[in-house]
Amino acid sequence: MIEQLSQSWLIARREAHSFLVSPFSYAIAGLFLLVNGIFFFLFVNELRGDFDEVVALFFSFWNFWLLALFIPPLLTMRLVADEFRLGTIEMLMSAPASDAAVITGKYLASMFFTALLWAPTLLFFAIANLFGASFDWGIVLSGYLGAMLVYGLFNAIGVMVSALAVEPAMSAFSAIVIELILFFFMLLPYWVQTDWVKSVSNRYSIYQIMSEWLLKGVVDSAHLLFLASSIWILLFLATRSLELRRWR
Amino acid sequence: MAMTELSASTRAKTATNVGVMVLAALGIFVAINWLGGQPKFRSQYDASSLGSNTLSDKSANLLAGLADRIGKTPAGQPQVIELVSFLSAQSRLEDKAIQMVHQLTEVYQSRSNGAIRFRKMDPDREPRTAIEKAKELKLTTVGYDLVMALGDRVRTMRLDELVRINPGSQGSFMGGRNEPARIEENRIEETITSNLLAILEKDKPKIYVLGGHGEPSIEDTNRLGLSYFADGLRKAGYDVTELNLAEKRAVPADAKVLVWMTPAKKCTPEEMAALKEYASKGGRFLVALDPALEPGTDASVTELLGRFSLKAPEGLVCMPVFDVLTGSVVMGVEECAKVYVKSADLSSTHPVTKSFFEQRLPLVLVGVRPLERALDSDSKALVEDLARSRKDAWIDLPPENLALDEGKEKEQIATVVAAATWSVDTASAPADGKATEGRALVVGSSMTARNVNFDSGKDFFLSCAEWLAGREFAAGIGPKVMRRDSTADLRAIASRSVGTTFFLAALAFAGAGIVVYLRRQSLVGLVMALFIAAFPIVLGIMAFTSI
Repeated sequence: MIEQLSQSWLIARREAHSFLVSPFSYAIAGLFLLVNGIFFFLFVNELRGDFDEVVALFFSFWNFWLLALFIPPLLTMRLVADEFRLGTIEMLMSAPASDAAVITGKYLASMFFTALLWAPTLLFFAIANLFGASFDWGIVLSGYLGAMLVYGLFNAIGVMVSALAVEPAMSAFSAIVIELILFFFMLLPYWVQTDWVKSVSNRYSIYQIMSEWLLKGVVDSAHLLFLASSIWILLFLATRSLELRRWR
Repeated sequence: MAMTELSASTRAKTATNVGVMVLAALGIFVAINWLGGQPKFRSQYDASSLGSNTLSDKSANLLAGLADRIGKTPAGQPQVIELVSFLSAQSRLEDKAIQMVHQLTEVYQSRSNGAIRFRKMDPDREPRTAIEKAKELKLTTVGYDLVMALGDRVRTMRLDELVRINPGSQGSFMGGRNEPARIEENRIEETITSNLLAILEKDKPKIYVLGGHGEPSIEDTNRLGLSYFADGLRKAGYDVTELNLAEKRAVPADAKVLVWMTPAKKCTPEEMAALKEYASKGGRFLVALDPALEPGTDASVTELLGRFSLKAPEGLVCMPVFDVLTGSVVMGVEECAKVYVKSADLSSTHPVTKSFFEQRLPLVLVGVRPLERALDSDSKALVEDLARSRKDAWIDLPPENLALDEGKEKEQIATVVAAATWSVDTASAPADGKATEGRALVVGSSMTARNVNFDSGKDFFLSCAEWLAGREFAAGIGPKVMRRDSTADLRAIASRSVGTTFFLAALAFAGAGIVVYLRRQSLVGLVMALFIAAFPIVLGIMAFTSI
């Protein structure tokens, strides 16, 4: 177990380094910060000092979901698919690391870069606080927790699809399609207002979990468990697909 | 050939293994999520700093025992309290307020072990269903209320009782600043819990307000009357009646609380005997008094205070006022007679003041008479100070000038609210054995309970009544005061945040160029990236300098 963790750690470090030396990552970061910053400015301007609402919108308005739909697939598309495309997978497979360690390491690297993306956005809240805005920091933190969980889930989808795809571009496209389908299912309770749809979405829709729970400051163990287990099963599927490809 | 067959067989085995493992993993996924959803394993953490999603211990305890308290229908079915929300939003803020109500109501439902059933019903979107439900609840009209029903007993709560919305204001041509509309107070838990308590009681607990000696009247709707006080208690589920002891001769046996506010003349010995008799049987008193206008008029009430090991010396508690413009201390003005008791000066343990202390809510009392422990009293009542003034307060002695007169008066901490409890002699306790302890709350200000000031004293007096009536669950839940952001400099925040955004984006784009240059020695790439980064830098500078 410890050996597997250290293998994952080594792979994560390698992948994190490749994120940091890729101009593409910086371009993504620039766009991400630009969109989020401009929307933060718009919310402050439009909501006339209702900072609770600024926090709620910052983490749940369409800018958040649009970025969440596109950025994780773009970050993760190369993680496994590129190894196959460039033929470096043979080297990776011959290294003393299990398939699970490879997938976990790559996933951790994508999460590391996601955390790097989000970290500068704290500056927006810090600046507002400096000029007299009073935030409910508990809700701000649960908003960040929610953002990391959403990106965590979408990164896991990206890693799984990347493990199945032949080309990075195909991987990104497939991941975006899967996430779009997921997103439309998440919006289902707004169109179909039956009790069972509402109760299922209340528990399993990541949109509902984010906007109705985390952004109101309620951190529910059932939601955390659902998201953590979803990430686990997606990474498990990615590992198994890597295993299958090895034998193909 | 043999190698191909071996390879095919290994591939088939691997595929089968993977298939089985995936199925097993899906099974584990479903199982742990099912288990995680079970109430036994599910827990919630309220991250909000106001605790907006958490019920106080008082409400939680009430809900835990609710199923047992409401019992079963004559047919043997468990009874259920129905909470139906007919709330409908007319504005964005109302929508937000309604969401807050619904969220907490769902917490009530989930904590009640099935004793509460909650339904949302928007009369604007589903008029037919709403009308049917209203008929079922025997409501005469479909109001935009939160309705609570238990059998025939129905209580309604308006949105403005649950959440207080400040509509905001526009600055005028004379000046003043624009104040945006905002949610000011969250009274959801306070209101729902007190309505729950009220609906559980078939007979409303009776509160008698003593009259006949020049006391303020609960019928009086003028500035100095107590009609708001009485209405507030009625809304919380009490039956409030005036009591004239000269006519009744004794405090009625059904009295849960006896209120006595600042009499203007002495009682007869028979009336005093009746009051003492009530106290000895575990009576519950809420006494509020003002500085006596004429000497001796308060003799009866001070005599009763002795029964609670308390006394009320002459004088008026005053506090200095700070002039925010000059920073100087001002005395001798009317404002000095308003006592602001900071939350730190409230008892942190007593049910009446605990939530004020926890929520850092100050208590504002007007025209306060100081209280002291009567060390010479032979009463065995235990006294606890619930609220005390700041140490820079003084007791302004007659003739009152609201200023600190050196030599005559000195700065001191004064007790302004005290609680007394005493054991009931078992021989004289009521047959039902309910009152095992006598209780009295003495407030040095009846002015705070009057119509003119009741808005600021409402929560406190309600909390007092709940504790005296033995409804400790509800005592002092109090509102959750929402944060105020009126001091935020929106222009500065907007320009700085957009400026920072542009700088961060420029940094990222420049980073991309530097990486291109370092990896490929491509000067063109670097120049292009820096060129792209230059735009956000210029915009950032413009944003920063726009203020």
